[in-house]
Amino acid sequence: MSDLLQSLLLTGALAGTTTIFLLIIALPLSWWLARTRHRSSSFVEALVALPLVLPPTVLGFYLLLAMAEEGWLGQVWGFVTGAPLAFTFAGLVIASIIYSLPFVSQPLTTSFRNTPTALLDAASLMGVSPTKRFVRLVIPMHGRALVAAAVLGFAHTVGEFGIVLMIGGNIPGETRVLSILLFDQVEALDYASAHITAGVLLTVALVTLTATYSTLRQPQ
Amino acid sequence: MTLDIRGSLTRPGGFRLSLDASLPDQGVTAVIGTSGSGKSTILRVVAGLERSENLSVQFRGRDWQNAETWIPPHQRPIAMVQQQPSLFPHLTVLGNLRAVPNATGFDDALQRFNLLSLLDRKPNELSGGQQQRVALARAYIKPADLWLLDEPLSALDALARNELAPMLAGLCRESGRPVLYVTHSLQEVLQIADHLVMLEEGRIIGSGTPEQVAGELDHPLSPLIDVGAILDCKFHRFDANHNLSELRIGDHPMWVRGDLSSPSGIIRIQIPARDVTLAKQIPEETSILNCLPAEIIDLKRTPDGSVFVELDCVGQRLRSRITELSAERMGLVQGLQVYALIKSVALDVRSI
Repeated sequence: MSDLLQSLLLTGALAGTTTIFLLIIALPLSWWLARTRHRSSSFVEALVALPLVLPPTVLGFYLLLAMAEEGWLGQVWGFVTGAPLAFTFAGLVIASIIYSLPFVSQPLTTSFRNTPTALLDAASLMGVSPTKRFVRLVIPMHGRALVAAAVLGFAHTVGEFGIVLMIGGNIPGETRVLSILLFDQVEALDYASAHITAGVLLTVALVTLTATYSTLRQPQ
Repeated sequence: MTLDIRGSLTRPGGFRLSLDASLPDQGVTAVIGTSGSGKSTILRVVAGLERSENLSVQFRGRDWQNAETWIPPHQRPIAMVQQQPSLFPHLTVLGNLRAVPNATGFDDALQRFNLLSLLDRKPNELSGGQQQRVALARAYIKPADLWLLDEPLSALDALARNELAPMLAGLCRESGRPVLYVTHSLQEVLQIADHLVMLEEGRIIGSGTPEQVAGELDHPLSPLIDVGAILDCKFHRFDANHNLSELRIGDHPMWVRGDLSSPSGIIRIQIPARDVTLAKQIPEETSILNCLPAEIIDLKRTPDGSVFVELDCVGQRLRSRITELSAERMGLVQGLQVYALIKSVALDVRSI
């Protein structure tokens, strides 16, 4: 298998897995952030948004320390699975979830904040419990925001570089995603291959975003 | 067995609801008041949308809320229709109705509210009246022991209101469940209310049957809503040529616009006091159709220079509001026989 195809599949697997976990985490988190008046919510919101302002290397540095064999995260992971976390696919997924969380959480929180209270009341008056109300009525109601959040999370994970370099390294089939492959190729002055890799990334990104925006443009 | 609401609720704006009420748990109880009187808040309290430790709600002996108990709204056996339909915008009419857990009487609701042709539409493709019909159906199919209606017609245009009012009235009478109907319009509930509760500034200032409340002239709300009088008439015939119904009070005819024939044959009409003029003789060549003989029972002066004249009209109470000057000029006194002239158009009638 060519390096390019291997990295392409790996990137897809990483971004896909990350997006699924992101949605599982961000949906309830964003709903809580949108609805709560608890004092801690501002701090939680700031925590979630940190990757937006921090250089990926800062995050990568702390994650590297945590995921190392003697780091707390690495120890927990080793205890549960018996495997190391740093420089593995699983480690990359965890890092990507943290790194891309604000890109999924923020559009969802914004959209959730616009849920009319009258509709939530109406659901309660219909006899729908708060959990079912969220899963069956609120989430589908914010379908567009959900699609936008998922695409942003996916695309942002495809595009990450610094954090992967810090904690993933460059292991073919395990951690060498497209952005790393491109970096390698450029460093090796293999501009012909670099052109293809960059072109693939560019095309994938453009096609995905175009498809998403045209979906969102259609009347609901 | 009643619906008991006790305690108080204070809002940041300084509004305070203070209640100690036992409402009947059968028939239609209309809660009437001006905007800001707290009438909608009462319904929200009963529904569980307002929470306060100082409020207790008990329905048929079961605590819904008090200092220790809290039954969340989705577990209360209520169905509620609000001023705004609040349909889910991403669901079709059918989807909105399907979202009701344990729905009963689904097909009946589609028929009753005339929704069969709208099932595949989204709420934004419906008129206000159609949306409110869906909201009514949604409440109708929810299993409930108590109905809460919060100004269900007031956001609608006149056309839609005329369409929905009979549906609502039919629903209230046939459901067999107690109904709490909040409105600022006495006219809206006159034909269906068994019990009236008047609210002002968060407090109940009067309650009773429609006839009782209409009889209380000193009522703080009477100038606001001009209760006037409520009369029960017999339907006599419909004159299709003139589009007028002939009702009877005793042997005296009352003409009212439209075909009012109804199964019961009894039509309840409301006559605002301002629409009753008095004359000492039957005026000749007047445009007013309805002229009833009456005896003056009482005269009450108000600070603003009006006089409320209480009349006995063939055994029923009627009330006229005239100026003090007119009363003086005509020499109106208790026991005087007069004629009450009633503008047909002023008769508020709903045939159901």
